[in-house]
Formats: sequence, structure tokens, C-alpha cells
Amino acid sequence: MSLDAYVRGAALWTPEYPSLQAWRDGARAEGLEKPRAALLPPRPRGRASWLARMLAEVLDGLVAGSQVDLATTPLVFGSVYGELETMATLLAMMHQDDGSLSPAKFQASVHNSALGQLSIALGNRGYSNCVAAGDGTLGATLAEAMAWLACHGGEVVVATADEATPDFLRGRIEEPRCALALHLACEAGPEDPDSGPLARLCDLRMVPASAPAAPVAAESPEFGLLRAIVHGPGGAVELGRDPDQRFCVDVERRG
Amino acid sequence: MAVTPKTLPPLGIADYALCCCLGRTREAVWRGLSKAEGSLGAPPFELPFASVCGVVEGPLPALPGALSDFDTRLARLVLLALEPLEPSLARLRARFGDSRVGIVVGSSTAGLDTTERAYAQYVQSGELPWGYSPVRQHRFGAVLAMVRELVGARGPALVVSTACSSSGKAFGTAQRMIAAGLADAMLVGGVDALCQMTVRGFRSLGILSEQPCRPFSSQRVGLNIGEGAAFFVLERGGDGPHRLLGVGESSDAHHMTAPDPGGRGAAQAMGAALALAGLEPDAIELINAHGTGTPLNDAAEATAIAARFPHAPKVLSTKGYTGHALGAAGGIEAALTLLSMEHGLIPQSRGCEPVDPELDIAVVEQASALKVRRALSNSFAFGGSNVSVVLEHTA
Repeated sequence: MSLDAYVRGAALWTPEYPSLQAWRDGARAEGLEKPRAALLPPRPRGRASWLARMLAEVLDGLVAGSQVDLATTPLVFGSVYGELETMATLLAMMHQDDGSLSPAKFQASVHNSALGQLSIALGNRGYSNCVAAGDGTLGATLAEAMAWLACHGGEVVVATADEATPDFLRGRIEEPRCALALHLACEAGPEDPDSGPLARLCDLRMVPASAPAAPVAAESPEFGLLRAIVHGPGGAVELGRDPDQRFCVDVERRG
Repeated sequence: MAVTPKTLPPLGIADYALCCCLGRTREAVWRGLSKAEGSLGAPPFELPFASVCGVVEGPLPALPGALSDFDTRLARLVLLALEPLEPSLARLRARFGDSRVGIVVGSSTAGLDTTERAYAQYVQSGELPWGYSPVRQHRFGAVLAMVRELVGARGPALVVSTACSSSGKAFGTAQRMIAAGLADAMLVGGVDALCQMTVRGFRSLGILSEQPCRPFSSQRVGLNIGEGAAFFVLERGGDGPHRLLGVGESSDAHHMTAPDPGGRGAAQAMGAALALAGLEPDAIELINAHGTGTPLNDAAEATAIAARFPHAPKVLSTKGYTGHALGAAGGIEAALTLLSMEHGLIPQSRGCEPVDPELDIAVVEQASALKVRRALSNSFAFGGSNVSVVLEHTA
């Protein structure tokens, strides 16, 4: 069985490029603004971590760019570190006063917190999942999403995001603040140039550690995948930097 | 457009192993469970409030030298649980090839126990400990690198982290990976180690019991935190007595920590598990419930079970023995379910008496000899994440 999917939409958020269009246009943002996260209602948005806001932002970007129904489409979210900022806040609380924790912060500390907040905001009662795989997180997240498609058909939204490193871990880890979302489907959908699929992902697979490697984008593997989908010329894309787990996919551009 | 999950091929469970506060091996755990031994006790660290925890007793095995950079309590629990599975894994690696054996681990906390200690030093000295590596000791992927080296599997590897449903959902991911052709066998399981943040966190939510928990009792007041690890060797086909039939997953879309009081998400997960297994509700004879012992969880889960299973199968919670092992709970409870089926003895739902008369389910008040062919194990989590796993035992 070959793991294939059409890419019906894509969205991006980084501090430099707060939308896919901004990135395509090379329009760098000045200053650092939190993602608007309009999909979250005002109260949860006010409490939301950067990670949750980034996820909300790229899902909102998908809605704007493709006909995805976020209330019913399965959601697969991957993050290397998850809610680091909230964890750092809770660790600090444990060393202050009597060491008691904020219940709101605690419930927001789990890896699937952003996904949970979004499923509540969207009213999505279906399957969703939250995964991680170190430097192979993008590939593993796509594998989980495309395996779902292969087993059950239909559509799936796949997203990855990581937030900035908290102060106490600076110098020990470096994960770029970046969020990517793709709307994947078994069927191509509309074929017209404006709303048709952006690309087709073909034959998601693991390649042996000894196989020749295609270069991974300098910024992050997410950019390499996005470049192949949006700018072309397509071809084989490496989905991570973990030499022990090399997921690869062929990208065929459409239109 | 919502998708109705399709039936997936069942998987053979070639082997399984676990450690938790009931014991460090499958045999020791069964001895404790079958004798209805209480094993919840004092937490392994100082807390400014009373608490009861499920602790894996005794020193944990040290990691081999080449993996010592990955050393955490969580990593040692993994090593303890994995050791007995080596022969089964070697057989499947020889049969399918290393690259066709994958790994899915469910975990909620990853290496948080070690990060807590590193942070304590950072607060005192302004420096993290010299040997502390968040890449090898904190982040979720660390456990994968370690397990890969320990067992020699080179197939797809990922961590599922959806809080307390993590290792239940790991079964679903594994079943899909094999059905989709990414692997022929999977090492699947879950692990979480006790740490202060989770105990203090559940205390902050007002749902931590100071006494051993009482799932489904009218006197239940909250949960206890536990720890442990459980792993299963799943294979395409397989001719052993145990099989994984189906895994149903859903979201409550209700509240971050409180279950939908109508139990709709839980009922949906159980229904999806039956659909994926190709079974009718009356095929299920036993349910190992999520059964945390919090008033809201047990009421919502009982409502969901009563709605989904009108034939009133036996319902058990094993958290009165183990505490709530968070991301490891789904794996540990699936293993306890298999043990019960294997031995033809359903243990008492410890702490359930007096059973809450408001709950319209058949709670196992006394241990009973019963041959069960198909059982279901539930796990529910923060964020409204639900999973139900259908297991089969044929003697």
C-alpha cells in the first residue's frame, strides 16, 4: 500500500512570516506579535499559550485557504516539546510560596492542551491525536495522519508547532518558533486552479539510514516540505533530521 | 465530512509485560491483583499535603553504559518493563526485519521528573546540572531513541501524548501503522514516572484523594497518582491466545478537565471501538473502566457504559490497586485486563464498596471466576481525549 494524499490547503505562522501569503511574498513582519488565534473564544484565547495560539492561527489559515470543515475533520498535531512555556511557569510556581500550582496552568501543561482547546472551540468530537518524535516529529506526524487516511479515507488536518525555548533551557535546546498546517485528503477535490489541490504527497516511507539524503531546509524540515508544495519543483523531501528515523515523501506539484 | 471508521484487521499480541506498584513483573503484578492486595502508599518525595501514590518499589535497573545519557526514572521504568519481551521482539525482528518493527509509546510527562530536579538546582545556583540534557532526558522523543537501541527495532517510532489516554491511543496508532503497511509488528505501550508537578497539579484541581481512591463508590472523593510501564508486542496475524481487535477514539469537545456529564464522548469512543472490531455491544463481557474515583469521571463513564452496553457487562476499575498512572494507565490497564482474562478471574474493583447506587452499571464487588473472551479497556484524558481498546482472549 502506498501512502498518498492530496494537499488541499496549507498554512504557516512564524514570527517573521505570520501567514503563508507573507512567506510567499517575502514580506517579513517587523516586531514580534502574538498570533491572533481568532478560532479561540476570547476567554480561552486570553489564557492560551503561544503554542495554542500558533496552532489556532494556522488552522484559521487553512479555513481561509481551503474548504476544510474543522468541526468534523480529524486533527493530528505534532510538537517536539509541547507546552514548554507553561511547564516553565509551573516549575517556577513549585519554588514560590507554598509551591501550589495554578489549576488553569496545570490543565494547559499537557502535550495535547492546544489540541484540546481547539477541539472544544471547534466542536470537533471525532478522532484527534497528538504526537512527538524528537527530530523526526514532522515525519512521524505526517505518518500518523496519512496512516489514518489510508485506513479510513476522507480528510485530515495535520499540524506541527513548537514555541520559543524558556529562559532556563536556553542554550540546551534550539527549536525554531514555527507552525505549519496542511489539509490532506484522499480525493483531489475541485480541479480549478484557484481552489484545486496544491500538490500530491506520494509514497510516504521510511528510508534506510544508509540511503543518500536529500538536504533538509536550513530553517526546519517544515520549510522544506512547504517549499516543495508551494514553489516546486517537488521531488523527494526529507521530513526530519533524525538519522535513525528518516521519513521521506515525494511531492508532485499541481496546477 | 465526518468519516465512519472502517474495520481494521485484528493484531496478534505476541507478548506483554508491565511494572507498576503491584509488582515489577507480570507474575508479581498478577499475584498482587488476584489477592486484592493494597499497594498504594506514601509518595517518594515530600509534599506539603497528605497524599497516596502508586510507586514502583525498589531500585530500578540502570541503563546500559551507551544509553546512560538518557537516564531518568521514566527510562528505567521502560527498561524494567521491556526486559522480559526481548525474546518475542527478537523473533519478530528475525521474521519481518528490523525496519518492519515499529515503536509507539504513550507518555504524558516524558522526562519531567528529571527536569524538576534540574530546575531545583537551577533555582539554587542559576545553573542547570552539568549532565542534564533536555534532548535526551526531557523531550518526548528521547524515549524512542532509547527503546530503539534497547530492542533493535528500526521501523517507524513515535510518542503519543494525549495526557491520560496516551497509551490507550498508542494501540490505535500501531494498528493503523500496520494496516497502512508501514510496519508488520509494533512494540506498543506506555510509561510515566511519578513527579511532583502531577501530584501537585491534581491537588490544585481539587481531585486528589488523601486516601486510597474509591472508584465507583458512593464515598469516592478523588484519585491517586501512580507510575509504571506496560509494553505489548503486536504482530500482523499471530496465532497466540491474545488479540487486539479494535481501538475507538473520540473527543468530548466539552471542557479541558471535566468530562461531558452525559458521557457522549466516552460512549462514542466505545462505539467506535466496537465498530472497528466488527462487534456488537453484547460481545463485550468485561469493561476495565477509566474509573479514576473522581465524582465526575465515574458518573459520566457509568452513564456512557449504561447507554452503550444495555446487557450490563461486568465493570471494574483497577486504579484502586495502581493509582492513576496517567499516560501509562491505558497500557497498564490493558495488561491487567489480559491477565484477568488469561487467569479466568475478575478481580474485585478495589475500593468500590459501597457502590454508588446512582451508577447504573454492574461493578465487580467481589472477585469472581469468569472466562471472558472479549473485554474493553477505557482511558479518558484532559482535553476531552477518549479511547477504548477491545481485547480478545481465546484459551
